[in-house]
Amino acid sequence: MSIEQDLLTYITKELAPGNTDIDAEASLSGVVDSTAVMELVVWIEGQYGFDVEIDDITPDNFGSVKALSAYIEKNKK
Amino acid sequence: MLLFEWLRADAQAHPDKPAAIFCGDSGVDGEDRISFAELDRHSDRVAAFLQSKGVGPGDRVALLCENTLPALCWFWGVLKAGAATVDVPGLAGRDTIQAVLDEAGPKAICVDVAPMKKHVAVDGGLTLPALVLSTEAGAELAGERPVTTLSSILATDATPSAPTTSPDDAALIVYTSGTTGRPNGVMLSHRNFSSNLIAGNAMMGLTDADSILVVVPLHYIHGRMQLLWHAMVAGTVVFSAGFAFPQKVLLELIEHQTTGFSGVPFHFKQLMDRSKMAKTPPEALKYVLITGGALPIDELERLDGMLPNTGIHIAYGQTEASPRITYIGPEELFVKAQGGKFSVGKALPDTTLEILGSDEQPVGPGQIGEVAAGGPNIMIGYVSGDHRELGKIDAHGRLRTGDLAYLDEDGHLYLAGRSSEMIKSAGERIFPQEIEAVLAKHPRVDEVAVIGVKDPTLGERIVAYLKLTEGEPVESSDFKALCLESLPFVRVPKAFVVRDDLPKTGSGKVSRGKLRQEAAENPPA
Repeated sequence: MSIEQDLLTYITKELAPGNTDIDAEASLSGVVDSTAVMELVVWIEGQYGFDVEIDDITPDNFGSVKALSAYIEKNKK
Repeated sequence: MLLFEWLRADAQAHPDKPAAIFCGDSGVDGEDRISFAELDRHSDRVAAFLQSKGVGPGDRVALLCENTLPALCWFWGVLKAGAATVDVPGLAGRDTIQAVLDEAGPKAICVDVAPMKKHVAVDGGLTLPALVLSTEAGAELAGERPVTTLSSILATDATPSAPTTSPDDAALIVYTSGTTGRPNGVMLSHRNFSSNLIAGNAMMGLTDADSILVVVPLHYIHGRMQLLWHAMVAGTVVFSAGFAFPQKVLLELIEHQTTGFSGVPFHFKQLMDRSKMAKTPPEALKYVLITGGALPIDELERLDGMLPNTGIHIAYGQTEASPRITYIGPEELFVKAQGGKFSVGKALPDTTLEILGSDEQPVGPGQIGEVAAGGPNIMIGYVSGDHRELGKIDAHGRLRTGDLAYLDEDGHLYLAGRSSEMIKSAGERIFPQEIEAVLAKHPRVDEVAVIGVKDPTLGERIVAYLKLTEGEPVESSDFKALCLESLPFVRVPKAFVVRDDLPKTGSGKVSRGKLRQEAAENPPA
């Protein structure tokens, strides 16, 4: 499965179940609040085997599933 | 005095100074700031418009807004019209928001774009009062519903007449979660707020040289306090783009060189653990104010070490007290720490503080009892009118906080726990009843109890214990989805534990106390 698909599955199962508006392009603001970002970071680190740096936890990287999957693609081990 | 007189004075004394700066995209037409003179003029027009529609003293106007420029124009405009604002908790589910609107009965509502999209422009959207105000973008989302836009109001040059409002009339109504599981509308007068801000500033001494970065929603008392405090001293309020990204918040503090920052323990924990604050402390930051709970003393020391040129101040209070009751500054904070605990300070100058024992009589120093507070800052009452029946205001007119604490010989207060069931998670005050009521709607849930379990990051992690009726197993995401229909993410349990049986009290009710005890000995995954 692609990273985008994995992310969508995780987000729609764990962070926003019942939210049918989320696709790869949709903005994640309003879906990921500060506690959800923490859960997402922990999940990414476990799933893709790299440490998410503080400087990387930005609205640019976490703004949409597409942006986030590009960021993971660049950093995953 | 009336609260909007501060804005009028600021516009006279500092017309071109920014009243507010927005780090995100919350301005209008790409503007990221508004001066005191402009905000005064804009809100005058809003007030004149509201008055022309018959809105004035004794009326309420609801604000379903985020931290945006239009939200400031509406807020000050409503006060200048002589009416009271109703801060609608926009993070809550639609049922809760509707219940708030039904109870408060506002004559008009001001709605920002995001909540318009989320709660109005959808099937089964909110039922609103006839008079709806929004921006152009908000109006486009509202469909058939007539909406008056901010730009059409600002295009006039009407000025409002001076309202016949008294300082003891309600100025702000702020909704908080309550033990009954329903939100309580706390009515606060102009005098409640102004007395508390004047008393608080007598301790902290902010001036027009000060500015603050706001990360909390304006519809919380903590947000309103920061806004009104800076209007009082003619300081600039900088609105953060949001707290989801702590490193970005640090960069905002550095870029805008704000002298102040106020947050709950969760915010400071996040800044310490998830930003590079230790490496690049914001140099202009003169003070931080911690409210809404206690950081452990070692964390306070760590914060102090990271911010060597910044004073740590702590305030304790409740929405019902507008909100501050006690205060302690950096000179005393570590001096007054006792046995690994720090004091939340002494009563503000015009506030009385008593610790009541189980016989309702004040107890002596060192003895634990319930905190009761009195003074000009104590609320008018709840919109529902049952603040006395609920025991929130007692026969002596004191606010009963539900917090357990003791005083030392000098009158310094030390918190010792809560007599109520409140959970504090990620800086939110959460009552288990509101979450239990949502989970009880699930067809398979037979019994439910929600508790807070100690958590190093969140303060407390919300855990739901469920007993299900016979049948197939149910996925946790099912319960999560149900919760998210009515609750913001931060209020959704982090774990759902299904059990064959839940422990009971003597009277047969599910015992949260026994579950808390079990969880402390054997924490759930």
